[in-house]
Amino acid sequence: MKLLFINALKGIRKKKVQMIAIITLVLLSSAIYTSMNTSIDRLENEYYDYLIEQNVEEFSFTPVIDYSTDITGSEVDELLETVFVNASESEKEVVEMYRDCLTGQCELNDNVSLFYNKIETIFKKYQADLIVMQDEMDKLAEQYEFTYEIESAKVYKEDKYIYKAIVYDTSKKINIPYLIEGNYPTNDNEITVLKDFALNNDLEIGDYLTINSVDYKIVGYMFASDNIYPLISISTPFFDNKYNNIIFMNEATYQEFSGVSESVYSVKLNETNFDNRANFSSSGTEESTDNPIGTFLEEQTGVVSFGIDSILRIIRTDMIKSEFDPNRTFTEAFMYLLLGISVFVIGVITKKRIDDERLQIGVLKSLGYNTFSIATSYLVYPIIGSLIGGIFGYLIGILLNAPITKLFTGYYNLPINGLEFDSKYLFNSVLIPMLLLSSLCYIIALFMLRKKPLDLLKEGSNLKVNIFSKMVTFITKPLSFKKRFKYSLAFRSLGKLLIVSLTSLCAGLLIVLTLIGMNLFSSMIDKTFENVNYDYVVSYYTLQEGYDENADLILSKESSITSIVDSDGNEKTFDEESADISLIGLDQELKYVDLVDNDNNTLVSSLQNGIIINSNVKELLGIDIGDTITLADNSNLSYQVVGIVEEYFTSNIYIDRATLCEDLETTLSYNTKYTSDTKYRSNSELSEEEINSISSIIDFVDLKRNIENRIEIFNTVIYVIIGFASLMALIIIAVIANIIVEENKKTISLMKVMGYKNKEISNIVLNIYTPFVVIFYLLSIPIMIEILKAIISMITDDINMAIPIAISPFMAGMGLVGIMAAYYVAIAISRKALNKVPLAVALKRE
Amino acid sequence: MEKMIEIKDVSKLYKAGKEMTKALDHVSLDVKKGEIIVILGPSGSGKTTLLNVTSGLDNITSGKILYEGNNIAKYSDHKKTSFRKKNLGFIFQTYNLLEHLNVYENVLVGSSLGKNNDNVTDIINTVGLEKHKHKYMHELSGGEQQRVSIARALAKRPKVMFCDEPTGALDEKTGKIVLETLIKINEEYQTTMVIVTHNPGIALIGDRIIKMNSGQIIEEIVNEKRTKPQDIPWG
Repeated sequence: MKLLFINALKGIRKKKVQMIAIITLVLLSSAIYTSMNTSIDRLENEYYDYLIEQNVEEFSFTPVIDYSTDITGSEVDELLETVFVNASESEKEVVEMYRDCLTGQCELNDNVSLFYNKIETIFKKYQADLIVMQDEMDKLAEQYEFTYEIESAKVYKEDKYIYKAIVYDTSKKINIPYLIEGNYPTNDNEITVLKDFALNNDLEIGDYLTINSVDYKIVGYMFASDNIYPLISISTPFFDNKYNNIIFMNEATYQEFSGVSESVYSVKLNETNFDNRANFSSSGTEESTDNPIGTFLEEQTGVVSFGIDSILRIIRTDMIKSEFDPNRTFTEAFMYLLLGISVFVIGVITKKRIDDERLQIGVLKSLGYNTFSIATSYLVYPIIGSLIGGIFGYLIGILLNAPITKLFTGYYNLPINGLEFDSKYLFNSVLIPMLLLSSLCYIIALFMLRKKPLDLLKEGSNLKVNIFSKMVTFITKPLSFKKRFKYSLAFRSLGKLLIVSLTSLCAGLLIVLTLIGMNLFSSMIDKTFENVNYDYVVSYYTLQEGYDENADLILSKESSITSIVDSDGNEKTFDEESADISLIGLDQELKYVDLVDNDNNTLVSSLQNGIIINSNVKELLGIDIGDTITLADNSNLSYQVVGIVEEYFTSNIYIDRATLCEDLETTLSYNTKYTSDTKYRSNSELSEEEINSISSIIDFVDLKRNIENRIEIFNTVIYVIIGFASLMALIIIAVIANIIVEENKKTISLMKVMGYKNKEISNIVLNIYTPFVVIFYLLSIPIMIEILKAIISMITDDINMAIPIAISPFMAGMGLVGIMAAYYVAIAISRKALNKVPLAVALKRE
Repeated sequence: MEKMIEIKDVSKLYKAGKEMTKALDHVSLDVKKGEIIVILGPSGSGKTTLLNVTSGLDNITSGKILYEGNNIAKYSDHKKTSFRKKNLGFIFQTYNLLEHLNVYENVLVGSSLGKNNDNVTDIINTVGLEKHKHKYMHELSGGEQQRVSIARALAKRPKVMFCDEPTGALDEKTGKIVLETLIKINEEYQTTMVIVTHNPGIALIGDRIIKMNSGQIIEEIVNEKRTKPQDIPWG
């Protein structure tokens, strides 16, 4: 058997193209597998170490205060002496009036809720709400066994730049900042910044940064450990390391710093359990009583508020986890796709080799060699391919790991240390391909070698005519001789035809992947922003009344879907993890907002008849027009779906504002404004009262730019994958063309002996599989669309986003042109081999 | 002499298109140990079919094929393979050697099947290829290649060697060298030889000539004396 191996090994020299194809495919799959998994491992290990070392919070919340009953007059008095010392005169007057009402010295008659809204705004501005709750918090901390700290920050926006200022406090025990380089900001007007921000803005330690006309000296680079993903503002959902910055400063500097304040309680359980952390979703409470966080939130609903600020904080600390599993899944799926293609190529090589050595094998079997030992010798192809491709792929993967890790850390503030090699990836890079390819190769060899020695020794199978050949002969009778000859050559061996067809299908799958991927995210953004006519979305802490002629007034509320019933009254099942939605109350007459469906029809007028969902909700939950959905609320609100707007980010449901206010039993109010008023461009252009009432301003110009920048990175990754895919498609097509010449050597030689010229022969022989390449390319389009939909749904499950997968007829046509171009190039190369086929081949007995 | 092979009333029918063809029609033949039998006949006479069924490469429709009393016609394919491995050697018109192995390695392919202790080099010397031991097939002439295939078949010391047109692709001079090699092996190792040919001259080198036509043995001729290959008429 050793000699049979040696014979097969030496035979590799004659199968260079095919062996290079195998090695390249295994190398690509191993490189991608190793580089991605190594990068993700580094991130994941560093992430969990970082959480422990910097004592990063488990979650955060703000207290729920009933300002009419939860605070006493004496507490307000105390606050007037302390935190409200720096308040403006008008603010102090309001607070004093509030104290008087609490002590019964005055009564409120009109606009009671508005008055308490004002109080709430002032209390939040000066963190008085947190201070007032301190005793309550101490009791809760003891009861639920956690420690807590007040986390405060100020966010300032200046043109494209957004700065988040945090006090550097050495007494901090939760969310300890991480100094990368330089010194802590101990003196006035000293700051630390993010290192990438400094690099991107040509700044160094020792330079000055001017913010709102104040010069700050940069003394170091530091991470805020609760901002692993630095989601500074909802206006920039993707961290922009050129324009977004987190700055630490001392207390005095912070007090002078202008910006929109935000404060929460950050909580750290006394015994950290990362399983609980993993179970804790940004949606809020967990029903499991094993989860102490979930238990706390459930039992203390009404005392604590898990609002947007808390959700944003969870995203900052936990979002990186969304990189781990989806990327691993994608990498493994892609690796198996590549290996699946390799499997076809190895099948082709094995079959060809056995065909070529049929006579020798017949003699060996006659002499007494059994099928198994002969079949085993053909394992040399997958073994060599896997060894070389696997090892080199692993090494390339290790080299690629650094830039890929850097790509991740451009978005995540995580200190990444040295590389740790995991030999498991080397084993998998070599063993998995070896096992897969060897298994198939062995099965094919056993199947082909099942014949008796005499059958292998018989004259060539050219003499056999299968039933399909006879049918083709009959059907092609009216055609010219050349065309009949072509089709008879193609159909004479169904096995070969099947192999060529399947390899064409694989090449088609890869080309369709290229076409769909190229424009995937960009078209998503374009469709989503197509109908955004406003520049700013202004959100308020509390409900506002009134009218603004320059804006669309919106009442938005977070909710979740509890049931979906179709138009026939049947309950639909749905993924409850995707059931969280934003309910958006709109007026019938709007200046900026336009709800448009797939066919460009305006849907706003339909709001009087029901609700409109967006395409993200439709895809994630399987809701259609005519369905009735019930929302979680005190009154279990149910609405019928009357339209679907084309929108791929967030899960929004649109409803008439007046109807929503009525259902929520509140006066006609709003908490969000869509406007293009330029006063919202910068904090400095707003009045103090308005700044205090605003919780966030989303600048859509910035948002779109921010998303496009992020998508550019996605596109880069996709282009790299597309590059691989295109290369593989070319390899496969080259293999097909190579096989055609080899398979038909005898016919080619005979035709030369008879007097046909090389050009005539290549026209007949090399083009026999052209129709099948076209047919299977066309078949690959719907198949790849379904495969991608399945992969995308696995990945986007965690991030509640539906990504549209489609290919236009134009793109499909381009793909066809591409595959045919590659096919004809490969055939042109194969012509060389055809021209070299000697006449003597025709004279040999088979 | 002791009987090596007993072919008893063997018939072989096979389907060609829509018709049934009788390749062998009630053939009976005994082969003695150490004998050289030459089966002679024109194309389509059934001589190759007789060789194939006798060697277990093909099945029979009826009859028996006995080797030292054992009917191999009833053996399973696996058992036939095992039987061939231990007892039989084959030489075909087209040599079917492994092109990526040299002479020594090709003979080793055969030798590794047997349990004998013969040195591969000795076998190569027997067939007169000692100077070509490390050459590859494309470096050898047709006759030399055929001698390699003989050495490969001989390397496991088979009891019977089946040769189907061993000189069919060779010229007279080379063909006679090959025949001399076969005779040498027969004399040295007492290997029973069954040679199929259409060349009446070759038939003279054997102990008996079995003439066939239309699937039947039409004549059996005993050679009083073997003719040396260099003396036989060719063609």
